[in-house]
Amino acid sequence: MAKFNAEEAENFEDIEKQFAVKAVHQMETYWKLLSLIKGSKLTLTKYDDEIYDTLLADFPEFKDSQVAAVLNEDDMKSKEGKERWRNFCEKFKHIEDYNFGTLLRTHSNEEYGEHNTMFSLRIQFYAIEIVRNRSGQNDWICKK
Amino acid sequence: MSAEQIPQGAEVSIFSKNEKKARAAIAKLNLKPVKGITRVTFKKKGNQIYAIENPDVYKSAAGTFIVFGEAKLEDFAQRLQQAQAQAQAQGINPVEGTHDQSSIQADFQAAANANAAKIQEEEDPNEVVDESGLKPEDIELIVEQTGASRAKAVKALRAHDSDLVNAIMELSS
Repeated sequence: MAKFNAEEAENFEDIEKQFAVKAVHQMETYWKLLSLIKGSKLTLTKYDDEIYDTLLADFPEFKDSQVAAVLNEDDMKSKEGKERWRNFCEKFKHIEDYNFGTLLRTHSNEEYGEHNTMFSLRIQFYAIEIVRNRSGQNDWICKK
Repeated sequence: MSAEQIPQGAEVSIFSKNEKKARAAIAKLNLKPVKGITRVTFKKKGNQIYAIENPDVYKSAAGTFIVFGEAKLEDFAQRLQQAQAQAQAQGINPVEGTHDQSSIQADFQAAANANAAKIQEEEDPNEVVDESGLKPEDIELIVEQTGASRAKAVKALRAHDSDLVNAIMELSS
């Protein structure tokens, strides 16, 4: 019989790890892109305008782009904050991976790091990073 | 037992809502389908066997396998008897399997590679593709970053609604 021992085989944990692997891969890929192209010239998806306009309609405070420079995770994840973001997120079900777990920097003037990363949904990541990119907050990352 | 109630080779695919969701989520992980697997079994203590006939098997880059299908409890002793009876009828002596884990992995790997190679062959690198609606600099960036052909870069960009990050991830995984 085969030596493969099903009783000792693990897989559940590994499947969970795959999601983390993808989130980190996404973070690394995005960071590399920002180091190659100025954020102000980068589009994230073909829905950028739609995401941006909806964000400003639902969260008028982002009209001041500096609001996106420093995120307050506690506010975003408070009961009220969650409710507002949920309503926003549900408008983008047509976008691929809209609710996929994605790492988001809390401060746009720092790189990804232990104290500068929060967990968000992909559509939240798009919304915040579009504001940051359009207002030039990410241009410092580009080395060119 | 129950597996015999479904005729051999029958394409039975009735998925529950949850299973559909799970499949959709897992399909996004860029797993390689492993073709040609007809049966996956889980062995529990006391020779209890859960068998999945005609499963859909996927393999991740890390070597994890994901199997879809309906598991059925099987009586191992009964199956062994059947197999022996069949073997005797055909005049073959039952031979101990020589597959250890590494050779099984190697077989799967080969199957996955063969499949990937096939997909690659189907794509003509010089194929002229419609680039309308896409930013040429996005296409060039993907080609530069992943080493993929222009046609592949265009396809990936379209598949991901011009999402550069997702397109690069698809081509570099």
